[in-house]
Amino acid sequence: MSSAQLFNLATAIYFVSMVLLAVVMVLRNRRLGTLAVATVWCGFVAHSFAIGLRWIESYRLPGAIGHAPLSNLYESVIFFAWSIVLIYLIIDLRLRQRAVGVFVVPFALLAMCWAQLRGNDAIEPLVPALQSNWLTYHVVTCFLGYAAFAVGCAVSIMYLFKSASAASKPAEKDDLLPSLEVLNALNYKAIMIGFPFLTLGIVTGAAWANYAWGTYWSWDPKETWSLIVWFIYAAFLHARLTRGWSGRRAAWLSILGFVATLFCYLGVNLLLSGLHSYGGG
Amino acid sequence: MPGKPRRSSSLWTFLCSLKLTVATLLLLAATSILGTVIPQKLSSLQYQQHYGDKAQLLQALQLDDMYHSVWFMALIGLFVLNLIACSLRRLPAVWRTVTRPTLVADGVLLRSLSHKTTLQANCSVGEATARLQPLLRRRFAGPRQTTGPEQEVCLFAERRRYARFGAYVTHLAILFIILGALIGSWFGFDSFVSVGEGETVMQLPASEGQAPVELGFGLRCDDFSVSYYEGSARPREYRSLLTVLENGQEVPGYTEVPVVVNRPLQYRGLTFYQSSYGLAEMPLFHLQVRMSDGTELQMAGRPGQVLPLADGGSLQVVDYTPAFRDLGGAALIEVLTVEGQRLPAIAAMQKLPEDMNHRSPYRLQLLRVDERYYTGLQVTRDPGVPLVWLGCLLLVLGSWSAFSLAHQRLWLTIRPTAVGCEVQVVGSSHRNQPAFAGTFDRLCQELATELEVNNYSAKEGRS
Repeated sequence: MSSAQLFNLATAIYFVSMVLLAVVMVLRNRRLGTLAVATVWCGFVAHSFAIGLRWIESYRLPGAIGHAPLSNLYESVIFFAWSIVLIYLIIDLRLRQRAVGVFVVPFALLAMCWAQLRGNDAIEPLVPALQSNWLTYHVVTCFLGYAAFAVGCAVSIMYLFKSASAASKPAEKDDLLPSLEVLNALNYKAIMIGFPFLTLGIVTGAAWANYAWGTYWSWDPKETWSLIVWFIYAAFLHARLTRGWSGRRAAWLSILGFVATLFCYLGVNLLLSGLHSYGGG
Repeated sequence: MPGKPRRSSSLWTFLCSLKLTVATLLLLAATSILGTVIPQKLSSLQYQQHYGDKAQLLQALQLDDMYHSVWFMALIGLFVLNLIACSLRRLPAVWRTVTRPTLVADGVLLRSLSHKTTLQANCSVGEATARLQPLLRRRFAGPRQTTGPEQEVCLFAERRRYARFGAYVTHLAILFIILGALIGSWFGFDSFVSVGEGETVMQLPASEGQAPVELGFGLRCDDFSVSYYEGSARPREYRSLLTVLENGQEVPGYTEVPVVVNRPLQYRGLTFYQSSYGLAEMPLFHLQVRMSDGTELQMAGRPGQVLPLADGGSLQVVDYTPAFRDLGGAALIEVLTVEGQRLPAIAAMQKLPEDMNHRSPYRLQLLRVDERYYTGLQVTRDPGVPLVWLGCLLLVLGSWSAFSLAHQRLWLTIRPTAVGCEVQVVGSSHRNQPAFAGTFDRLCQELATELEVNNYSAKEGRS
């Protein structure tokens, strides 16, 4: 079995688990909920094996030294999806809010589908600039941060849905989604996980830049956008300490943060020019 | 700020406000976008071509180098002032909480905390204290024992009190990074130098508005090479071999040091990075020529150079490719015959089949090509870097601890009752309440078991 086939399998499993999670949310069946999360776990395991297999495959290339599968757009999207599922599973283990999956798993599924349809899945040996251990540290930390922000964004969308429906029909008890308080707390939690990872991602990036190019910060568009994302989430975390910034405004700020994150990840490469190389992939 | 005039106190309040923090951060985020959309540090002419009439406005607003503009610096300055003011204002109270904890749970504290329970035990106050002390030490943290106003026994235990400093460590880290960046821009420089193979440089060429910098030592490039992945045009490695010379003598440990991308050379506070490469001069082509009368001769020339032959004709190298079909490297040669005819001919590394050699009177073969490269090195000195790294380390540790570590405190008040004693347990965590609720319930359960309180249930016990 090749890694490409395993990625397809993982994508299919995520699709099944997304359907199951949606059914669970409507029926509120506890045992089905466990089954749905178990399917996500299966998809995650297949996904992890596929990444490992691709890593091994990179060693089989003629003349190549082998590298972690984090070097181009296809590989990064795949890893982004993996990180989103990982963060979701961690939050699920600790807080057991099943309905959150309905909004989070589609992010991962979308990323997987996009990678499979649009990405170039050829394994290519590393160009000199990427031949560094910093590549792995930098990409892993950045994407764990991005993934946590994706979860925060998903929860914020749930929050806005819930608060809108609560406002339109206040009498009716809407049980499908977790309470507003829980969603608000989850949003904060996700960003509390993501922020230190983003910080570490920026720091490892700076360290690598200093090592490879002789300057730790050059206001390259990618660097600047990562700083913009950092500013937005720093504002989010401080806004929570002041009155009147929780609830809907916090949800919007979290969504804004994730839009900036996506632009930092994809927009910069596709629309602006800079030092990060996977734009064409 | 008591005793200060009112105006400065209102300024102080403004600088201490968290609303200012949020506003500054969002403003920094929004303005930073401009510099990623507008190309930075181009010449006036280029802006003229790009933006036409708007170019002047753009330059007046310093948007051509906005991250070093006065207004962006001012925004960062405001951010720094706000950060310092906020920290200074809140730090003393936090310092007191950490260094001088409240040891006795009084009425005010009791009302403000939500984790509390009371245990009724049959043993004496002394016995309860003796039993609970080691349990707390084992399961939570070593308690401090004091006597309350009504002679009750008070135990206080806390853990991870330093978690309170997480946010301030993060703030300090940001100051370090900014200070490091300033030091770098005042005392550091970066430059670029190209060194041909076999050449030695003693100084760095002048960059914009700066005089050439004397290295104080010599740097020689012994060799430069590019290698490619097997069967592909994808480069695998750019490698320079560099040697450092002091007073013309090779420095031990610094001879033929391989410098590749991601592996720079450091010497006397300067760092040399593999950055670019190119040909130092026109390559030299070595040709073997067989004349029409069968005599063979070898000659060498650079592109454009006319190589006269004994019979009155001449050759000139016009073009070169490193891989021509399966014949290896090949040069395109222009042949000028004795009759004055110009003919194109190809000289390849391997012998060409006869029919490809055109109707030239000479049989040409390319023996080798001498290419001399230069290596392009980025050279930097940045004395601010260690401070920036210290800042980065603190930033990561600080932001991690600020969100994941919680300062947890526990107060036990033990009073005598008619049948034995009563133990009041109060807990507090400065963040992450749900997780602490679980810890608190488990701990109370264990305290109850230790005191042989049979009818205790965590759910009932919490108020």
